[in-house]
Amino acid sequence: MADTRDNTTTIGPGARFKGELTLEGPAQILGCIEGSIESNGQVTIGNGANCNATVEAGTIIVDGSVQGDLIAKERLQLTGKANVQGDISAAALVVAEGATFVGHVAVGPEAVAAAQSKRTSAPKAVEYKAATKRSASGDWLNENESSKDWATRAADAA
Amino acid sequence: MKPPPERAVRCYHCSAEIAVPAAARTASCPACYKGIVLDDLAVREGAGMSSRLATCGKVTIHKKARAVTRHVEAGAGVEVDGVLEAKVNSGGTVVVGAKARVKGDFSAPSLVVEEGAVIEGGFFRIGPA
Ligand SMILES: [Zn+2]
Repeated sequence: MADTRDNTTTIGPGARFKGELTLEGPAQILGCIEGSIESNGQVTIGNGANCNATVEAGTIIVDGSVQGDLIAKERLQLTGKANVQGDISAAALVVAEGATFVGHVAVGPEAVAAAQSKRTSAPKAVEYKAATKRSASGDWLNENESSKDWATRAADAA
Repeated sequence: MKPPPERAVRCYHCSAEIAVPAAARTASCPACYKGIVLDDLAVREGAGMSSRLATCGKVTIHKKARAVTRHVEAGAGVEVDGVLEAKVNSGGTVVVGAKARVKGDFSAPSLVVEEGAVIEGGFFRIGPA
């Protein structure tokens, strides 16, 4: 069996990366990263890492601190030491007791597709903001307005 | 005569920490004078709608249950194995089981999500208050 360490991209402790990191294989972040990470494989944010980035990957394991959105196409795992400030979208989520986070969470097969389409059509943000403002005064349980997805509301507003 | 054993709970109306008799199931908060439920609450089967599920104990939504409620206040935690739609404020760990489906905003000191659970969006604030 191939040694997986050979093709794992590692940002070591003390290293600093700024920009877009696009990978085919797995990555391990132990240092400081600012920007975005995109991978089809597994991205591990290690304990002690300082990750100020949007991470989109097949599997994401967070054992450290992340400020940014996380999109896991397969699985997102937060260990008991994880600290996340950002929105989470994942096909499956596993959170260990002790993990701390603040942000919106969507988990399930449709959550990832919704997050990806939201990312790719970012210019629509103006309509989205307007819709958020309108529903903020309403009841979130009010199905007819607040549970409409943003794209529908943007279409209504147009 | 020995006084009855007591336990400390936090009132879900005013957040005051109060002492109640260990065996009591309900009490009146000495700080805000409102009635509080001390028992654990369980939604066992079928669909239930209410404006509020509140207790100083634990709230459990069993696997065949679907609870749609505006607020859940649980002093000792929430366990979901069925469907829960609510704004949840928990003083203990929230456990979302592998077959659970939840929707709403959650605030709790800790969260456990088992693989397979579905979270249909909501704002989560997990960590020490
Ligand atoms: Zn009170």
